[in-house]
Amino acid sequence: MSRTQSSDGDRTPIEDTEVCVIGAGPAGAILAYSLAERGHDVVVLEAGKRFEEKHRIDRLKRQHRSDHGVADTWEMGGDRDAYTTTGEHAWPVNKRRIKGVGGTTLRWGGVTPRLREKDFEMGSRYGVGRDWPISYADLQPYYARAEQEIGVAGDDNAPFQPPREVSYPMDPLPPSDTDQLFAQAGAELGIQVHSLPMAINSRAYSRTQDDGTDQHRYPAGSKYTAEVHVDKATAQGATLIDQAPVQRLEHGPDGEAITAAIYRTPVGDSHRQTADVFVVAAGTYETPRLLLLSESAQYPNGLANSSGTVGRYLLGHPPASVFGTLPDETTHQGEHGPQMSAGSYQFYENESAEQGSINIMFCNVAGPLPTQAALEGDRFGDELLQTVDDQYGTTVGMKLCTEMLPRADNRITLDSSKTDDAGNPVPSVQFEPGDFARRGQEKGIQVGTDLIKELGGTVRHAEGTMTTGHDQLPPRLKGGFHPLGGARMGTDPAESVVDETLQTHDLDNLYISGGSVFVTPGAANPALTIMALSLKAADHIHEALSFRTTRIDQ
Amino acid sequence: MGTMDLIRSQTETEGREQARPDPPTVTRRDAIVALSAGGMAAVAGRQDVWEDDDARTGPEAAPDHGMETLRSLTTVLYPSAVDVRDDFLSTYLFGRIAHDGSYKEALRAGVETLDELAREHHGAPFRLLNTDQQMRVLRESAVRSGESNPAGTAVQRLNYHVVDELLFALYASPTGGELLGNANSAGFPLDSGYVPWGTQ
Repeated sequence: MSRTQSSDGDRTPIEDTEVCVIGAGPAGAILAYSLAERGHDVVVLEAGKRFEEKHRIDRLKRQHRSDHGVADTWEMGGDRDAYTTTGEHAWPVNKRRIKGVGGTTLRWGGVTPRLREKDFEMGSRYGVGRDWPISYADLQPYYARAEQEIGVAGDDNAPFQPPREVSYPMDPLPPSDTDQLFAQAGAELGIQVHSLPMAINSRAYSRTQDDGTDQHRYPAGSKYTAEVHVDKATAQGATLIDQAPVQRLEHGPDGEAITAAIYRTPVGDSHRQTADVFVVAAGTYETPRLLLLSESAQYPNGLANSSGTVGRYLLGHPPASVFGTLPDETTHQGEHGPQMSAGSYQFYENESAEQGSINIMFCNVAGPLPTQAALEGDRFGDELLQTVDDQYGTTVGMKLCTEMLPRADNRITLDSSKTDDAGNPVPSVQFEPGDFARRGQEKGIQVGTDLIKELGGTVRHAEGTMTTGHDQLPPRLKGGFHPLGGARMGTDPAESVVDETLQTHDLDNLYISGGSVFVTPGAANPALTIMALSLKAADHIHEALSFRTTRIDQ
Repeated sequence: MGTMDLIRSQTETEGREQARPDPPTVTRRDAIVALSAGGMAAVAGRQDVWEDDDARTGPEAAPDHGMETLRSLTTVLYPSAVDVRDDFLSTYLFGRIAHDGSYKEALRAGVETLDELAREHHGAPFRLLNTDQQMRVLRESAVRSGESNPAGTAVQRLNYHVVDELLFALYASPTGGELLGNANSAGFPLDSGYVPWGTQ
């Protein structure tokens, strides 16, 4: 039995559900599909809405204006998404995440590298951070499957990559003009510039099973969003219920199994979705929040929180950027679809991990674009043309992510002094990246500065969130792009929330997927790892369901 | 170990620099590109933007009043060297209306607002003013200088629905690209450039 959409307004629960997935983003969607395609009865509950394409275009046009922003574009904010922050690094949370079908892949850059081998074993290799309970080798086959499923364009021969046993599904994206400039400068300085793996088509690539039913047109280009796997899942019989934020999870009287996900509809109805297995894949902020909100007599510190680590060991990739202008060069920014196509992983691995790994991505959209510059200000006619011409065309730059180390006091808690639109305490984010990341930023900024100077350019901006006052930065330059941690993996139930199969230590039928389960962040953009982990979890859930002999009495 | 092929041939790079046509003209082709940059398709044939309105009198009652008003506005907004052809405007506007029927009303309201401002300042509808007077109307109202807001005042809605759209149509089009040395003006128009010194 399947229902593809709740667009008809019917948001009642589905009977005889085997797996209830909470969250229709990059973690939940591919996991739901992986189970649905094997015949399991899956329901996906998503807090946000399905963004129809007609409205998508209007939304993108609004985003283009300087007085609107990404939060407005995706209707983030307000009481539903309220949060608080403590500490020095207040992330603009609702300018980063999206609640909706597709999740934050609705606005991501599409960069899809794998974590490196060392990222899984920082403790045993370098004596810092902590080891994951799985190795790169354990995840390697799932990385390959994820790349195939979402369609990744990459260079098999690019340097500084972890081992791979299969080719990228597509050839790499062609280098942009600025990629080539940076490559030339890099050659002079002994810095290798190479293609980045991207979930963007470099040729025709079918992400659906049947070309004839591929209805997707993405205004920003053929970039993957998790909507692809939501639709593939529903085509295989799964049901998606959107605008159905889960309020809490209930367990049976003995506290050993989840019995239902309680969700709320736009008209204020409350429903109980039962299932044999539950997967929380609600993003880094909402996942620990849901567990904490689901506290009970058996779980006074929050559901699945015997360890006390739910919400803790929050992680990120503290960012920095270096931008400059070139005097005699037209840099053709914005002329190519992808925001990024090349970078350098030369500074990812260090001999001794003295500073965080560095992930450098060159920008193809540095500086204002013509339409953006044209809509600003109050000029028209010839004056406007002159203004646009002055601003457009000479900027180059790069963004970089750095690695940080896990800290118990970087955490998400519940803030009861503020409640959301349903009366639930909001999440409160406390976050401090630490010196390991700061040294990584300093090193990365030096590399970027050297490259721009080698090109004869003037550096206009060379700062990271740790090299200047975080609060003084404009929102776009603050942290929070890759929020991770909060429900980490581990072998020891006293120090972690989930095991290597992403099953919670405390409850056999509760799994968690997403960035929440990361132990260390590395510096690689996390989406591909999130999807690989989801595919691994789906295999484990499938195995568990296959051996199941009885259903939970409802 | 492979690295990226770095150096494009000199001739490839030079081939990208295009000679500017003389004079630059926005045509139907520009409108089609700008529409697709906005995720919309052009439409064949014509839709009527302006329905019969018995209440209109004087110059505003002329059947082409609306389109002529928009054409004069476009001419003022665009660089003086750019020749604005009718098929550019009609293709772009009808494409917008086909995509979103409510845009018709926004255009009509915009034309009315312009005419009100023009009568206020110079006692005649906008399209009958000379260029200097038209530019003065824009400068002395909050057209361009004020906010663009789809739910705001009449001038704010004029800015949002008409003025900003017309500027977008030029600078996302091939002709607009040629004016700036941007070989692929429609390549990335809908997201914002990364401006670390901006306020976003």
